[in-house]
Amino acid sequence: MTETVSIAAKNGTSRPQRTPLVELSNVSRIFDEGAIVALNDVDLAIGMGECLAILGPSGSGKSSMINMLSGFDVASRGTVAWKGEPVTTQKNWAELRASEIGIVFQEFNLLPTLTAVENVEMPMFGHGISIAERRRRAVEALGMVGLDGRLNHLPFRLSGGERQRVAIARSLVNRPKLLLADEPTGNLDRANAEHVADLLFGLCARDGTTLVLVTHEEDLARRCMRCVRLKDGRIASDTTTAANGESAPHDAR
Amino acid sequence: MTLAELALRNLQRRPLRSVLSAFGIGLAVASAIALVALSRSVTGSVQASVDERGADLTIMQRGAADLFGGFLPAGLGQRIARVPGVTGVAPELVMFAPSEHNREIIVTGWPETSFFWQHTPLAAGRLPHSGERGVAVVGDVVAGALDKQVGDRIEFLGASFRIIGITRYVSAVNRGLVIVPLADLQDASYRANQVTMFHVSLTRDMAPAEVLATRQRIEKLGPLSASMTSEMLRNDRYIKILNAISLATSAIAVAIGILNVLNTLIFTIQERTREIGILGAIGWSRRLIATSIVIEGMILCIFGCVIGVVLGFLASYLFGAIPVIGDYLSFKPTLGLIVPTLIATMALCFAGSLYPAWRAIRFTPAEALQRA
Repeated sequence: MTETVSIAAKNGTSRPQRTPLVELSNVSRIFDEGAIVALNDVDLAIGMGECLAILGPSGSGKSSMINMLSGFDVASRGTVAWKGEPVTTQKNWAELRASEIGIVFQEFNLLPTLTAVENVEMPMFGHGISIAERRRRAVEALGMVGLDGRLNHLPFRLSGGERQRVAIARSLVNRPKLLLADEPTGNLDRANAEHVADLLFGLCARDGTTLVLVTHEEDLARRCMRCVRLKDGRIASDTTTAANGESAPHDAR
Repeated sequence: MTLAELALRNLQRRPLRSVLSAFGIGLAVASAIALVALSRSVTGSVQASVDERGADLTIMQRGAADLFGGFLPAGLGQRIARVPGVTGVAPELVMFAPSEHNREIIVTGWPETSFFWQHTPLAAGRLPHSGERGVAVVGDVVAGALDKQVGDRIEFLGASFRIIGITRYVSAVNRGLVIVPLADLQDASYRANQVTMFHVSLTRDMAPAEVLATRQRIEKLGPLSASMTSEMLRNDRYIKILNAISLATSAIAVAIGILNVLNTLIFTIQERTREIGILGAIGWSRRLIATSIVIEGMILCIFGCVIGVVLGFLASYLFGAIPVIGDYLSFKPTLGLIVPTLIATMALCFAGSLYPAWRAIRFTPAEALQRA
């Protein structure tokens, strides 16, 4: 795929604008033959390395937005493009989730019969990676989130914070370009929430991973440089926070 | 961790259900092995018994519905003996007859000139003298079953015979055989001058083409069929029925076993909808998810097959302990029987796992995660 470069200077700073990593164009998600409009004609482009928070009240379309960005669900109208190329089949989405997109859920979503290290191995299945290499990478990923000592623990033997760290290790083990985190601290106490948030931001910053964070916590959202607010399935605001702390409408070019 | 280990881990979550499903398959496989082995044992046991007595060809009435259903004139034996290549003719009148303790025994009548006598091994007593009547030589199994010894009497068809010898044949049918003079059995069964079949011995080292020519010459003597011992039950009505029943019962048993696996997998998948959604969410392709479900089904099937083979052998021993079967049949499941049964079961299991696998992948990850 070709990368186009343009110059944006809306907020007074020149910064390169490349082909978005993922882009929603006129995306709508409609349920029950139009009775429920979860997303309504949404345009959203997310660039490589961005850290973006999606906020909004319940029913505003946050989950549908994550479903569209991950290919978990199919848009009723509009297109979703990955690096400029529309993604149209579940097979393509599965390939992207296997290599380019990591997901962290509010409910952790670990497989209960598998140990921590086995859970982290799961995304590497079916890619021709040897058993030993899968194990090595999983152990390394768990080491990154500070769970070296919990490799062989089943999920029910881990605390909530530890489970979410296992989930983060699982989401990053294939070194994705995009990490989608859906209320990642929603089920955690304050101390664990801060630890998990630090991990997410730290690891994404370290590897240049694009982070899309769905949250209802303003404090967490403020750690992102871009903030998208949803209301009734539409983008109510899309702001970028500059280094000096001032917010401005996001330059969509 | 491999896909097989993952499948095993999932099966271990519901150990009772998994074990019962495997037993369902196991019982099906055991039934198939036991029933088909039973029907094949009939053919094999009869062939072994005739071979052991030294016969090369068996001459029966053409179109006879079953082994005991032929009615041939005893005098035909002399004409058969004159056919080139024939070195000996052994007429035989054979039938099932109720005996003491309501036990069905196989009774056979041989003339004193039969070459069968030359191949009769004795465990005790002696063979009949020339012209001796009213005597019987009994197989060791039937002697044991009826608690008879040399000098005792045995009754059947309203006649009484003095036991003068006990044989020690190897084949199951012969060990359950009661041999009496042909004339005595013809009298007792109101079949004067009749025999059921003729057994023929041929010149040693006869080429297959010569054997065929000899068979054709014998068959020209009348409405006869001359068969190698391996072919003699090919047209037997009862064997055909037994084979058909065995096959049908086996197929039903295997179908029930497969349905059991199908049921287990469908339940498993319904329970694990969320987990399947998670696998899809972390990048598992539909093919990979489906493969993991099929592997689960195949593991259940493999366990079931192992259980089935063990149960099949146990059943064969149990069948062997039933007098009406064990007295006459050498009942052994062979590799040639077990392997096709297992291949058929595995193929059906594979097919049966595809539907649950399809059910597992029909949802998008969002639907799967929401349904849970």
